[in-house]
Order: sequence, then structure tokens, then C-alpha cells
Amino acid sequence: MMPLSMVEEKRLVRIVRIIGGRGFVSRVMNMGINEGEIIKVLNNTRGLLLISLGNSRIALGRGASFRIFVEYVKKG
Amino acid sequence: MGYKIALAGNPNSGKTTVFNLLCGAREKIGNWPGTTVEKKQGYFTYQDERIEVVDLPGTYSLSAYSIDERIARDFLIKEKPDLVICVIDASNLERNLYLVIQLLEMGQPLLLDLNMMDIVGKSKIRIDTQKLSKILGTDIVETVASKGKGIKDLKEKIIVNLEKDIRKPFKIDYQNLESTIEEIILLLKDKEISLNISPRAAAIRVLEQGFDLLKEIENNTIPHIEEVKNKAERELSRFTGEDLETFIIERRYAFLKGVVKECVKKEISLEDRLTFSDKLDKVLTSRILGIPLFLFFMYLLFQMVFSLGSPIADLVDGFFGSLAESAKLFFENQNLPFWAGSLVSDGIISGVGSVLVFLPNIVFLFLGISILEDSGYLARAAFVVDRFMHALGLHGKSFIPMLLGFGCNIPGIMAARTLESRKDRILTILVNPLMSCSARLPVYILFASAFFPKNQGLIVFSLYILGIILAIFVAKVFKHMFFKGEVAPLVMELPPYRIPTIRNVLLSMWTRSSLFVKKAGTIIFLGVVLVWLLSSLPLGVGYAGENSLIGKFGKILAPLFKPAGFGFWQAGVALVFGILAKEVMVGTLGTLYGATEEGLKAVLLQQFTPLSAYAFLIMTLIYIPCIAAIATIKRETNWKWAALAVSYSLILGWVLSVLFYQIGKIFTG
Repeated sequence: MMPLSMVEEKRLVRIVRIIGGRGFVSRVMNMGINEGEIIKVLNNTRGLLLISLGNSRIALGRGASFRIFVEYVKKG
Repeated sequence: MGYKIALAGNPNSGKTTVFNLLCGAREKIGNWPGTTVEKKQGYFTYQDERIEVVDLPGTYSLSAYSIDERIARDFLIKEKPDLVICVIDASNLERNLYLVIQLLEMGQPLLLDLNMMDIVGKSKIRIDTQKLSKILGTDIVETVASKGKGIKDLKEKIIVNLEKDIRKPFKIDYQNLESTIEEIILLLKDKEISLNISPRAAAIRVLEQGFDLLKEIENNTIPHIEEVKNKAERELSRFTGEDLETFIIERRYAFLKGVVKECVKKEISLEDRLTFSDKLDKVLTSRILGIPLFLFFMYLLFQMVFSLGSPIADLVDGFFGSLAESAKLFFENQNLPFWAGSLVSDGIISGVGSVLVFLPNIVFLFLGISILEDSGYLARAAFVVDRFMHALGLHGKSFIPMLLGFGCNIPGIMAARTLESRKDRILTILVNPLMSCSARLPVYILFASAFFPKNQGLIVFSLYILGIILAIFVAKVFKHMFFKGEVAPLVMELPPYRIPTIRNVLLSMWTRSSLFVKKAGTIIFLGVVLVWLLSSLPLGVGYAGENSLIGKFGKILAPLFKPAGFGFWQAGVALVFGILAKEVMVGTLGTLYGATEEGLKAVLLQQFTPLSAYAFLIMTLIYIPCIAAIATIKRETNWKWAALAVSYSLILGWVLSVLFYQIGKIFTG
């Protein structure tokens, strides 16, 4: 498990845990960023991330990507 | 009688396109006074039935985190539309359905519009709409709004749904919480509170969000309910380790997962999907090229505004010049009183004309912004500059209000609503007036073309940059003084890139530009008439002379601006009238000197030096926002912040223009 901010570009990861204040957690959940979802990191500029989740592309600032914990999904 | 329907949906679901297609050119932008409301309103007629349509702000949920969401929620609860059309991005079904089930839980009559079906068609996803319709208990229409497909069908279904009330009870199983929900429903019944939503929805709302909604209705909390809620919270955290809100959201998604599994076939894996949009993003948002490309696009935008706008502006100027001439001749030939001719030609035509001259530039600016917006780049720009904005204590999303501020500060200030945190929002609002709005552009262009004919673009660009630098500086200071603490993290969906549709771009350019023309017809018109009147009184005085009322008034102000190099009364008067609306400054100068653009330039060249002209532009950029902007700041925050915005800008503007002039004098001798 590691913060999303550390994931390299092009990697697929599964969301394990989202921490943070109530407002933050439910806000990202409302946008579909939930535990168990698989996302792909398209772009990672020192913690500023562009991810793909289903058909949507979501930008995450550093403050957000440090609070979302993920694990690698084995390819194949 | 007429029906009232509302359009709801996630951001980027194509809601506004559907709205424009439904209402056609008859759309009007409604901006309700009082509360912070911005919903678009229009209507259409179908089979002799007049139907009013309200386009709500795009939201992911009805949780009321940001003001946008609150507007949508309040509208649904308080205004009770007869039907809500929920526009859904079909290529993103699960997330989009979240809002749908919240609406269904509220007991809202609903019609689903599965939009962007063309994208679904292209990928390997198949949606079983019949099954979906059955599970959710609502009718479904398929559309491709960007191509205008399915709108007739949508209109038909709207009528059908309005005429039959096919509301079916909709229930999600909240497992552990069901008994608590029942308990609260009973308590609410005891109180006989007239809720506009179903008791079950109200109970869930209390558990999820607390008492905000009940407080609004009852003006206080209900002690029993609070007890029940706290007990449920404790138990839930003991059994599942989660808080109420997270648990409820998770249950809803669990339900949705089931729905999507039932109705959607063959979801292809993420691996092999690198769309055209992603490829573009690789370049446009890349670490190295992101910021340079961003600056390049901004430069292109301003180049377009000037190189395309200015030749047309010259034509407009010529037109108003000869119009003023012939008006004067007409009044002389008809033996009408001299003052009438002067009012029409010196006052109205010169004044309003000198403002409308800049319409071409403004139209091109709005055209550019609309293209950036519609293509999807604007959201990327917010992403690209987030790190930079963060360093300044602002939020990446603050960028969009700032950019809109270049068009007009009022929409800029209102766009700050999308920021979730109050601190970030107020900060963004406070510095927004430092973004050079299009109303200041006429003043810049007038002076730049008179004093720096070879470097017009550069001079104007430098003022825009100065405004940005100041915004950064002011934000830093205010952040330190009033809003210590962390900036809320950026979480923002980026819409896919697409070729902007001519219709959308032109429509949004038109609505924005027509506001400017309307202003020219109202505030600016009144402003120039007032200036003319003050310039002509007392009777018998030379028009706009030193002894006219306005001259005397200006003379009182003039010494204040002497250290900045423009200590003559015309400049002082122009600045005061600029508070009405910044464009009025050009009109005022036009009226005071009785000339349209070319003549005005000649007079200005005699009064200003290039140095004092630039100092004057610095003042114009910074000092006091226009009345409309002050009113908007007050409406979006409160009097305290509005007063701060007025006072800091006045002091900062004066200090900087004086500093610039005095230091410049040393170098130029």
C-alpha cells in the first residue's frame, strides 16, 4: 500500500483506502473515486496527477494524491 | 398553466448542449438577484404546451459541498419542478447514476437522458436501456446532443412524463441503518414537519449530512433525532469502522455496481484504451511542455484579439465619427437648440461610440475564451497551473475564475463558486478584480495606440501580466492575514477534448458580448449623459471647460494624482466615472474633450507623457472595481470583504502609479 502520489505513470492501481476529513472523502467518493476501483495513472508530475477512471479523466492535486492509498494491480 | 422542468446532471454530461437544443435561440440568461443563484432559464413549446426549462449547475451529487451543489439542491427542494431531466454521460454510467439515485430517493419525478450514445456506440459497451429503465422505474431517452440527435424524442417523452405521474417508490437497502431510518421517519411524522421531500429521503439526509436541511425548515434541531443519530453513528463505527456518511455513499455505490452489472455488457479493460484525448494530454499537460504551451495559447489569444479586432474597430470608429458629424449638421440645419445638438453628438454619440468601438476586440476575446472552454483545454489549464497556483496559496480551480475575469470580473467572481473551501473562494474573489476585464481594455487600447503605437500589443499584455503578478502578491498577503491553513486539494474532472462546435462557441460568445452591448446601452449611456450634463452646467459655460461643474469637481481631485503624473482634472473625472463601469472612462474622456477616437488621441498626446500615460493605465488596472463587481463581491461574500476589495485596490493603485511615475522620472530625466 502506498500513496497514489508515488505511483509511476502508466501503472494500474487499485484504491485501498482514502483518508482525510469527511468533506474530502465524500467529495472524491461522489466523483466515483472509491475503494476497490481500479485506476490508471496517466501523468504524474511530482504528486500532481492525471488519472483515468472508467471513461473519465480526473486531475488530482498533491493534497489529494497523498491521501489516496493504492496497491499495484498485476498485469495480465 | 405551464409546466416547469429542470435539467440536472454531472459536469461535462452535455447538459447545457441539451438545454440549448431544447430552448433554441429563445434562451435567456436569468440571473436572480438576492441569493447566489445562477441557473439558466428558457422555454420551449411542444404540442401547444409551454414548458419552462431551468438548467441547474452541473453537480456530482446533492450533498451541497460547494455552492453549485447547494443551488441545485435548494432549487429541487424549494421550487419543486414538475419533472427533472437528468442528463447522463452514457460512457460513464456508474458515476453519473449516483446523482440519479439521489434524485430518486428524494421522490423527484425523473426522466433520464442517456447522452453521448455515439461514444458508447464506438466503444465496445452495450447498455440495456430497457432493463435500466425497469430497475430505476423511469423512462429513458437516448440522445447525441452534440449532433442534435434524439431531441424530438426527448421533447415527446417530456410531455408524456409530465402528463402521467408515474412515480414509483425507490428504495436502497441501507442494511444496518434501516432500523434507524425507520425511527427517524416516525420522529419526523410526530413533528408534522412539512418537508418537500419524502420522509425517508429526509431521514437519510439527516444521517448523511447532519441537520442542515431540518435547520432550514425548523430553525432548530430536534433533540430526539440527534440522539438517535448519535447512537447509530456509534454502533456503525463499532461494527464496520465507518462513519455514517461514508457508509451511506458506499451502500449507494454497491447498489449501482449491481445495476451496472445487470445493464451494461462487456466493459473493456483500461489497458487498451488510450484515446485521442489521452494522447493530446500527454503533450498538453506534460511536465516539460505543459506550462510553455499554456503561455503560448494565452499569447495567441491576445494576439488574435488585437490583430483581428483592431481593423474592425477602426471601421466602427469611422462610422461613429461621421455619425456625430452628421448629427451635428442635422441639428444645425433644422434650427434646433444648440444644446440638443451638443447632447446628441458630443454626449451620446461620442460617448457611447467611443465605447462600442472596442466591441470587436471584446467579441474576439470572448470568442477565444469560448473556444478554449468548449475544446476542453480550459480545465487542463487549471491542472497545468495548479502547482504554480498552490505555491501562491491559491487553488488550481481558482484559475478559471481568474481567466473568466479577463472577460468580465462578474462572471469571474461568480465562477469562484466551484471552489469547495470558503477560504479559497473568498481569496479568489478578492483578487479577481486585478484581472484586467474587457471593460478596461478600451482604456488600455486608447492609451497604448496613442502613446506606444509600435508596441501596442506588448503594452497591453504587460498590464495583464502586471495584474496577474499583483493578484499573486495580494493573495499571498491576504492568505497570511486572514486565511491561514492549507488549501483544499484539487480534485477535478477533465472533460474529453473535442472540436468546439460552432453553435456553442457562437452562442456563448453572443451571450457574453451582448451583456457588454447592453451595458453600453444602459449604464454607459446614463454615465455619458451625466458627464455631458455636468460638463454643460452652469449655463453659458464653455462645454467641458474648467469652469463647468465637472471641471470644478475634477480640480478638487487633481492634486491627489499629481504625484502620479496625471494631475489634471479630466483624468480625475474619468477615474471617478470609471467606477460606474470602466468603459465609461473612455466615454468620459471622449465627452470631456468632445472627440471620438482619433481626435481624442491627439488631445491626450498633448496632456500625457508616455510615462504618465502608463502610470494612468496602472491606476486604471488596479483602483476600485466597478459598481457591478463590488455588488457581486458583496453578494457572494459580505460587506466586510467588499469593503476590503474597494479599499485595498484604491490604495494599491495609487501607491503603484505614484511609485512608477516617480521612479520612471529618475530614469527618463
